[in-house]
Amino acid sequence: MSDKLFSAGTLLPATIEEASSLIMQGFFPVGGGTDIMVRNHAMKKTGGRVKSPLFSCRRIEETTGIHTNGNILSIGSSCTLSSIIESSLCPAILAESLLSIASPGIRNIATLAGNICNASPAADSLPVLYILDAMIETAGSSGRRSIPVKEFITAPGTTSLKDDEIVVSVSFDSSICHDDAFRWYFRKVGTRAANALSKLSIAACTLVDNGIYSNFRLAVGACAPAVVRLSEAEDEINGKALDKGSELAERVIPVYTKALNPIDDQRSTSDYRRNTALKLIANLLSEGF
Amino acid sequence: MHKISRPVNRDDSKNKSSGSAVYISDVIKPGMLAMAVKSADFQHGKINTIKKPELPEGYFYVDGKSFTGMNRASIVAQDWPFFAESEVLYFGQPVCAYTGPRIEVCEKLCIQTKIEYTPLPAVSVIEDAADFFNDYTIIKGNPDKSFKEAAQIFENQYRTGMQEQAYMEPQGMIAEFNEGKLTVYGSMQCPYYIKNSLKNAFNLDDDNVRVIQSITGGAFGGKEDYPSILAGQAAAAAIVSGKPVKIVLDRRNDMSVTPKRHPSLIKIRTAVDSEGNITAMDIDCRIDAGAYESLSGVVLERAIFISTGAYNIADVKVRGRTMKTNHIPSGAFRGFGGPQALFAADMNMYYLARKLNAAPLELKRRYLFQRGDISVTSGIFRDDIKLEEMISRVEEISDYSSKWAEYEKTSQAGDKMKGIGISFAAHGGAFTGNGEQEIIKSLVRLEWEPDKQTSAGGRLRILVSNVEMGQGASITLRKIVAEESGLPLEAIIFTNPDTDIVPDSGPTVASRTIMIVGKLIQDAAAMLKQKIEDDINSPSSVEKSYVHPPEFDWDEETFTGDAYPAYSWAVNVIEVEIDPITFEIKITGSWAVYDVGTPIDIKILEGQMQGGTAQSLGYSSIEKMQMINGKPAQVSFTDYTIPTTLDFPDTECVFIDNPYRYGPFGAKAAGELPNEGPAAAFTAAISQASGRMITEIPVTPEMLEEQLR
Repeated sequence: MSDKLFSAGTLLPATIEEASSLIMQGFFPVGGGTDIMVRNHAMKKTGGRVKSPLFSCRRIEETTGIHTNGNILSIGSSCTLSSIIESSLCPAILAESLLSIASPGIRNIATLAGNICNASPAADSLPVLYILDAMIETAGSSGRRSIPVKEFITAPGTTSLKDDEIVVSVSFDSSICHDDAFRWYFRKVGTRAANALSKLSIAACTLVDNGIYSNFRLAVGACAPAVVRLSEAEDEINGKALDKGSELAERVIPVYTKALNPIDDQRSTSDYRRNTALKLIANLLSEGF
Repeated sequence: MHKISRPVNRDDSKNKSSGSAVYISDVIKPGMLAMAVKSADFQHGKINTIKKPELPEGYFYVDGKSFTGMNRASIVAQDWPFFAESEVLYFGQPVCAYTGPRIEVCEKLCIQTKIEYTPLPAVSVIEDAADFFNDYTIIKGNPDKSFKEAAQIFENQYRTGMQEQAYMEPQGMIAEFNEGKLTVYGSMQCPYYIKNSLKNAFNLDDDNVRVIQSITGGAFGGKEDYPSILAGQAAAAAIVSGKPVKIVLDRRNDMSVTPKRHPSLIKIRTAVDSEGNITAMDIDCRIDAGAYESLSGVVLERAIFISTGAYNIADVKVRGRTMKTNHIPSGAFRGFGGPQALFAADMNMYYLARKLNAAPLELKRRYLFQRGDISVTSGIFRDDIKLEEMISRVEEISDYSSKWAEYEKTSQAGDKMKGIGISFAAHGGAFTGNGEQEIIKSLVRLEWEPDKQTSAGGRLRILVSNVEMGQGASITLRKIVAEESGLPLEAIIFTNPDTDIVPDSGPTVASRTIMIVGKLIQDAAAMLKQKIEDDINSPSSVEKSYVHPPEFDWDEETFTGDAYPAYSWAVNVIEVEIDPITFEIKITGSWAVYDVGTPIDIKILEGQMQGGTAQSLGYSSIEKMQMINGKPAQVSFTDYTIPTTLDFPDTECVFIDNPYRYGPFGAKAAGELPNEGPAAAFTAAISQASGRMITEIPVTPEMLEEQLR
């Protein structure tokens, strides 16, 4: 590494091309960087460290700002969680899930892209992004890709982001959120009231026309190696009446039961996670939105 | 309210809140080396070999052989080694250490050090433990007779978990060795404990060990014991290397290797006569001491001496044992055995109320201690006990009884899960048993330094070994001296103790700083005031040592008599709501009435009560620390969740007036009291809300889900 690379200008690339060039030189992109210290600390015992040297993407024009293009809402990968929450373009369900992350200080610097790229099964933004069918827009020396979030995350802690790529933005069709028939639900069960990690979380949304479900979507976080979203269950619910919720619950709960495979860890138990997630889903359906 | 109770601004608030306070991790000495300790990654085993990497230039190796005296810290018992010798007894036990210029290199050397063990059977829970360090039995009255004549006998057992002190500033020390004199600086509660421990560890005489407290960012008991270990390790490295050595534990390391609150398992058999009166209790109290005795014996004493809680039971047998397990040695934590015993005692009264079909408060108030009653150790409660007045006050502010009756109906109907609980707590002020009169023998000194430039004509210096650790000792001790001497507060000086300067007024523990040391400096201030009035322009000083009031009797052999000179009292009410689906617990109300004698500063006291209550509620609910195969599972604040301001409501506090005749301006013990009662009030509330008899803390949603699913 030459000294030149440490000048602020170089480590704050303004374009995707500059970022790609830094990656080729052995630098690693970082969003808000709020997890670096935590991870380094956790890896200390084994002598490991977070990949370095790092560079920040936040000066890359394309990664900043929140805009709409027709029905598509696009959130730049450098947008902080706070700026997304405060944006009038941000759907309430997404804002609610982002508000459940960490504390104001962390939300002021952490980014949505960072939460996604961490690829934690307990990441609070993911269940909402799954039900919004969010796309992860990436760019790198080999060109641009648009990847559905569920394909982007390949396993706990890993993504399909290539070594030379960065995340540019997260986008989804937000028109459904503005429909008068739109209803949504988000519930995080955490270890305490604030600054807590999820034991489990549920995000769901639907359109309700004349008491009939359409476009019903539901995702469960922290109850399997990846966020669980089941089209089999959603198909069962769509087209059915809201007031038949208890029957619907009876039909889909076995489907969710099969798919949930939570772990016992230092924050909760497998039984609690599974049983509580299933009860929340059953309750959501029987009470209606 | 006494005029001394009026709040003044803390003298340490500005530097601590602005970040200008210098903690030990901020201190750099010329030529100073870093240090990292190699901890055992094995629960119990014989050490076969230690394979050490080659030492780079300027790096040194330290282990148990580096101690020229004994490789044992003096923490009440003298059994805990600074570094393991032939055997490792718990996961995380220090085995050896490296010191040198760069911390990263020291840490790497630790990782490269490979230890081979022959496994030995490990004991992880109290039930499996066969060995114990202490086995005490106390008899009050004639329990055998009462049990023989009992119409009914009830039996239940109560369990409490580990708790991490979670002080904001992790532990740290700097040691230097120059011309035969060892000097240690660090974050601590008990400078003279460390001094004595170092004297024994290195065979040094009194003049050659000096301990200086640095600004201490919280302690809660956690800096009573382990700083002696850390100081010994740093001192060994300083002696071996000939350079100043600093060791600061990072958070994960701190949580992995430092003592926690003793887990407990307490079984209580209760004899009830044909009229439904409680006549006797037979209590078996076991606490998990961990791998070494350390100070567990004294923790056990405090637990068994208050083992019937705030309740007067005529005939009592208590057996207490400190069980030996392969865990980190358990240590001091605010309340020191009291929270465990009071949880069991108070929940047992709740259990009996349920069994005897009585409202919990009705049953409890029939047995509350009154003046003249006899304690478990057959001491006499000599002072007025105002628990009835405290009940009236708590009813006024919390509306406990009507809420209890309402929730009794709704919880039976099963729709809403709401509950409210009330508990009673007693805390004996001062060191347990013969500690003050026979062991500590506190000595304080006040010095007058004339200075015509100041409006007071000079400065009055408080020389004690008790520390400011965030609890407000500095400002409260200064207020006592100012009030007694008539000098302005600015003329009274308190600085962090240095054992070359201050006499040994004892450790900063057991809520004794105000009650015992505060009284001594008040008396000394009265004497010094006379000298200053006689001759303001000459330096003068007064020393005062502790004299135990002759009316108190104590027999250390049989544990008979007055275990404490005075008790402080608390009534707690906690209201909860349980989410019927997720079983998440929400605390919706917290009220408390305290008798701590005269508050020396009402704002400091309120801070103690808010913080202490939150700490106890954390202990009861979200602070779960599991040992999995002897290894702590929660070693960061990500996984070990202490409450934030959003978790619990503020506690509405009331202080009643009941001055203590031997306390400074009537003050008695206060700091630990708020940590004693809330757990039982909370668990009673959960029991009502869930319709289950809950006997174990922490109460987690996972535990409720398992019981109620």
